[in-house]
Amino acid sequence: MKIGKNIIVLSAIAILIVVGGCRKGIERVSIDGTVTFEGKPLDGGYLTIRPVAGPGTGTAIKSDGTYKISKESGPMAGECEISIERFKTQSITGSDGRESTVSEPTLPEKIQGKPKNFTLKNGNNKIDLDLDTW
Amino acid sequence: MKNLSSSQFNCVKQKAFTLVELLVVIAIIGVLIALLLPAIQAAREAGNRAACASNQHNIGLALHNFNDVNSKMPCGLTMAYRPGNTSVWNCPPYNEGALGWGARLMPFLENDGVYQSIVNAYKNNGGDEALVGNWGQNVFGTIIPSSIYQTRIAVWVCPSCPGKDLSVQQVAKGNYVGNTGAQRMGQTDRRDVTGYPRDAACPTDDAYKTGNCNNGDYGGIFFQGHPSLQGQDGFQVSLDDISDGTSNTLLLSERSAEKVVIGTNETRRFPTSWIGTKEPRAMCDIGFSTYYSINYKCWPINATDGSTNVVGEYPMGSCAASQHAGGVNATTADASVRFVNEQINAATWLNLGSRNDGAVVSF
Repeated sequence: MKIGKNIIVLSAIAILIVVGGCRKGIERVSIDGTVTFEGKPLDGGYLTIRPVAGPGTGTAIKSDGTYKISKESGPMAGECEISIERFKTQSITGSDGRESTVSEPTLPEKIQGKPKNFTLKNGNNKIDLDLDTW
Repeated sequence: MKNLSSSQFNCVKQKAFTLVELLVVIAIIGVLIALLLPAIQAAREAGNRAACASNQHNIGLALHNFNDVNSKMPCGLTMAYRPGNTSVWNCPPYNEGALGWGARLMPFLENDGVYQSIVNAYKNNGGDEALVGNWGQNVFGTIIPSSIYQTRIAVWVCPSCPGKDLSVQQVAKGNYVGNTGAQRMGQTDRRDVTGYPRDAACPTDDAYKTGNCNNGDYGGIFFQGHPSLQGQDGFQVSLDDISDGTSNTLLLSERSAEKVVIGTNETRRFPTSWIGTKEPRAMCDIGFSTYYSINYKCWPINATDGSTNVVGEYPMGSCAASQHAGGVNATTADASVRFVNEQINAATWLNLGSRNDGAVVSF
């Protein structure tokens, strides 16, 4: 009977090792905030985050200027670049009479797609982006 | 007597297993099976991943053979004009669709029968057969019977992507995508990012900004054709144009059709189509961009982008993604396939997408 008990104990340890040994993914953080431009919330656009280490992420900015990236799709903590883009779709007629649909940037050149550095901490990050000081 | 009786009892006891011992053995067998089952699943997935890499390698070699024969890579997506209005360079219309690079590659993938069926369909259904060779403004929606391209062709499908997931793709079933570059991909966003052959009508920067001069070049290898460049073939690069080096530039990757859950929201990624595609997915169905990281997730998907454009689908639908655990198979332009971890640094992945950014990549 003593041997039997030992086997039970050993089996339990083996199960614990198997269950406890599962690998963890990278540690991601969540981010939210408001994007303002010319003193008002930016009505729509796209925000891209490219961290120094780990994969990039991003989200669409809502019409009230707010954005939110949840932890499960967020970047890793540390240094990162954030850039904002906003486009407007237009129909253009070329000099030869041909028409074409193009999307044009609607933010000033020094803001559109230009990355700015931020530091993300563990947990939730509240980062309000003022494009007037970009 | 007492001793004898005791000895007899002991003898009987040693001949049989007790219930507890049996239970312990059964428990051990249970644990062993529990350990084995995931291993079997992992082995199956490893096999599928290898088969997927083999498919990509075959497509990569076919592209090299294509490049040898034609001195350039196939045009990513043809169809520059809207039917009935040859003055408009536009996206392929909903009901027509444009031929993709995969269709032209078929003879090099031992699928000459499929290719001949496409050519014959043009011949028999009022299409311009000669245009197939040039890959000009070829629509397929009303010309090629869907039975030709809806047949599942093994080399285009990743075994890790279940058939029920693939069924969301209404055109041809596929999982492999060509590298379009490192730029954001949008419905009407076809920027000439490299300044490579520009429309002859727009030689200056000013003309370029105001006119219809984009050549569709996102900086990678596959693009949408443009009416006024190189006849009607669109802009095609050759292996010689890859100045970053063929081992430092991506050629192919994959996109799966898995369900993507973000918080309480749920959506599905779109797989690809070798025959070509229709709006609104356009380039997303035949190519991927490294602007967005591997297995990219974002929410909301239906946000506007400062215009009526729906942009959210493009990040998730224009990245490389797979159902292999932790990354994707990707082929560099020298046709070697490797598994890329989804946690690869965003900047490295970005540089791998561009064929001539001059960046040094350790990959």
